[in-house]
Amino acid sequence: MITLRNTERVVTIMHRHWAVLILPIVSTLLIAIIPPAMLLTIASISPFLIVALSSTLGLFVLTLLWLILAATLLTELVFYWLDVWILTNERVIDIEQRGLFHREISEFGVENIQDVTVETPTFLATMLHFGTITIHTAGDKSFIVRDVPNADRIRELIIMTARQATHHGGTFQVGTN
Amino acid sequence: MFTPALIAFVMFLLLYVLFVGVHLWHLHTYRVPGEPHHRLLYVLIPLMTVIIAIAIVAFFQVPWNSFTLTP
Repeated sequence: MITLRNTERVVTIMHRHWAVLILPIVSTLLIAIIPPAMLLTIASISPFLIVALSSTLGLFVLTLLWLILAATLLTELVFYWLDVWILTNERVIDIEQRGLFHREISEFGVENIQDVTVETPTFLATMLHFGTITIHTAGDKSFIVRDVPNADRIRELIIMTARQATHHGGTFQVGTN
Repeated sequence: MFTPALIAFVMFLLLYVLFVGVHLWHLHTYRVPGEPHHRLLYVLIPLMTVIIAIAIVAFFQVPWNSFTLTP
C-alpha cells in the first residue's frame, strides 16, 4: 500500500495501454471456442461422435476447461491492474506485479530526472498512441515504463513536474555561474 | 465412480474459489486508493459464477456409475 506524504499530490496514475490485454483475451476466447467447434465439425462428419458429444460428460469437461481459461484471464487482468506507475509532484513510484506474491516497488524523486525519452516501437503502438518511456535519472539509473498510453503527453507531464520540483526545491540550477 | 468423481470435483471447486478469492483480495488490497475496479472484472466474475453453475449441473447429470475404473 502506498502512502503519500503530506505535501505530496498525485499528478497522474499510469497503467499499461489496454491493447496489451487484446492478445490474452483473444487467445483465451479462441482456446475456449476451438475445441467445441472442432468437435462439432468432426461430429457432423461422423454421426457416431454425435452421441459422445451430446453426453453431459462432454459438457462437464468443457465447463472445466472454460473455468481454467477464465482463471487465467483473471490472473492477466489482476497483474495488469496492479502494474502501475504513479507520478506525484515529488516522486515517481513504480509498482510491478511480477507474480501473485511477488511485488516490486521502486521510486525516485522527480528532481533526479535528467532526461525522458519516448519510443513508439510498433505499428499498433503508433496507431493506438502508446509507447515506451525511458526516464534517465541523476544516478545513472534508467527506469523503463512500457506500453504507456499517450506516451508523448505523459513525457511532457513528467518533464513539467520535474522542472517544477527543481524550481521550487532550489536543488538544481541551470545556466548559472 | 460417483464418489471419487464428487471428491475430485469438490476439491477442484474449493481450490478454484480459493484461487479467485486470493486474486480478488490482492486486487482489493493493493490497488491504488480511489481507483475504480477494472470493468472487465464485472463481466468475468458473473461469467465464472455462471460456468461454475453449469459445471455443477453437468456433473450431476453425468452417469458416473456407468463408468468403471477396471475393465
